[in-house]
Amino acid sequence: MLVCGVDVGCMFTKFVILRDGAPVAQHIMESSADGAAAISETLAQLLASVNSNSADLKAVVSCGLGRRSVVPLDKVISEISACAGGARAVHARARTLIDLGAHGIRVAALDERGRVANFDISDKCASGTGCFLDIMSRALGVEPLEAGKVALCARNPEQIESMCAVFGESEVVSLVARGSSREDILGGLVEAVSRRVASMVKRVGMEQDILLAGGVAKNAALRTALEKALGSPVHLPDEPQTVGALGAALVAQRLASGERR
Amino acid sequence: MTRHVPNVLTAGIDLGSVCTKVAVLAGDELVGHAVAPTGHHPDATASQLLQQALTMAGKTPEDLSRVVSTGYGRRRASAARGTISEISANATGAAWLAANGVRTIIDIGGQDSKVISLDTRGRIDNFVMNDKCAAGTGRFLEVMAELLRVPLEEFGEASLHARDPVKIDNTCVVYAKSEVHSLLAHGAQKADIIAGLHRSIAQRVAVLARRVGVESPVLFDGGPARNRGLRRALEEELAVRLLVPEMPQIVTAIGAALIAQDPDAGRHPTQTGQGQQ
Repeated sequence: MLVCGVDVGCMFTKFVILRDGAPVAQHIMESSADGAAAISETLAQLLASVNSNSADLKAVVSCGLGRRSVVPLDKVISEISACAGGARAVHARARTLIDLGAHGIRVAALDERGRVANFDISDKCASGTGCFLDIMSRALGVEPLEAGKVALCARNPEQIESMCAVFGESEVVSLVARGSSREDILGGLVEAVSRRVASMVKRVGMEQDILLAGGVAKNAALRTALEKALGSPVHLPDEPQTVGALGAALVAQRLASGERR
Repeated sequence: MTRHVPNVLTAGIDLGSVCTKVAVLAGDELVGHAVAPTGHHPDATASQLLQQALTMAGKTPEDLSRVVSTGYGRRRASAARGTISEISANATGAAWLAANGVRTIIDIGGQDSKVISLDTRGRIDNFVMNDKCAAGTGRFLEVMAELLRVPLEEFGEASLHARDPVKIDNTCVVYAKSEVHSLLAHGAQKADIIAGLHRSIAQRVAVLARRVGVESPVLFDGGPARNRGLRRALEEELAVRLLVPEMPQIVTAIGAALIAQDPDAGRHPTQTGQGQQ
């Protein structure tokens, strides 16, 4: 039995396919304007890659900003609950979940059974999101995917004052004009993001273990900076970006097997 | 309230994050003014504008009895012999301009917005300021002008021709940019988008204004106050009539020049050379 979870983010769309409850395929692609067509096509290709077709697909569950653009679709769930479900699967002892996406920061406190006990979402403002880091990287002429590596080479991370992405970009430009290195500026930005996330974690309530998910978690400097800001170890799954899609797939699995929560 | 008008020539320099404004007063008369982008050399810009405003007044630097600077970069103006906060300068300038008094000032600047409430005697009662977020500031409009490829000076006129203003859902400038991108892709008219952007700023500033309370008369100043579409959107949002001075950009500079008439006000030494903010 095959099921699929799709997490349609504003920058990337993530797929996870389960066969009899175990992941057999996953895929990450850029989200596009003609979302629905691209998603259907990719889903067909993924099914073909596991020697199956849509006839074998028993359930599809989606989450994310563009979750309604998935066809076929059996159910939509929130990013928070998808990510919480995925977190539980990749790290059974996770009690605090930090999901850093392109357009939002989500923090959830999970109970012993992995259910969401409390959460906080910041998605009205780009401050501290993946989008924020991308804008700053581009202003510095650094490829966003390389930003983490560059930040790791910071010697004296700059103190960044503006958390508004628009004002922050001007601040970055003026730091460059004053002779700061890209490394120190990016190092300072990652620290600023971590402080913002840490304050959300403290509001929601921090319990061990802490799991980091979302595409921004791939920034190599972020985890260390977060550990410093939280004063606590932070666990990073092998593939942080698909945690939400995995959670959606697990819900699809339960749907397909007729299980009720 | 009658004011003793000293017969002296003074200047106010308002060094803003985007534009620098200078006003020269001869007693109770505005005799010179100048405005230009602040640029990378704020002190040089300020000195140049002061010279320009003096030329307009037919005066020389030797005729000046005192210069006071204000604004975000006020400590960088070496021509000034004192500094004053932009809140005080704005309140002083607004009270001087509005014959029947002002109870609320809404000031939208290049990178901030503030609302000042004044008591019946024109003294500052309370104020609230946003300088942490670009939404609701001139910067928001600047970013959008670039995105839409419509000069900012045409925004006001353009929005007045809107037939069906769009609703901008995102407050954050970054997200609003993506939203405007997709509105354009879906064929929305620029005039309708611009009207929607004005409404978005008006809503944001109205939230700020309601925090201190809006009492009439309300004066709207700062560079963006020249935008008629924004004025209308703000009037609709707050359901009040706004007084907009002829040159809304120089109200705070005028205030600084008025404060300069009092030799005891704003007497902090200006740190020249190594300005701090």
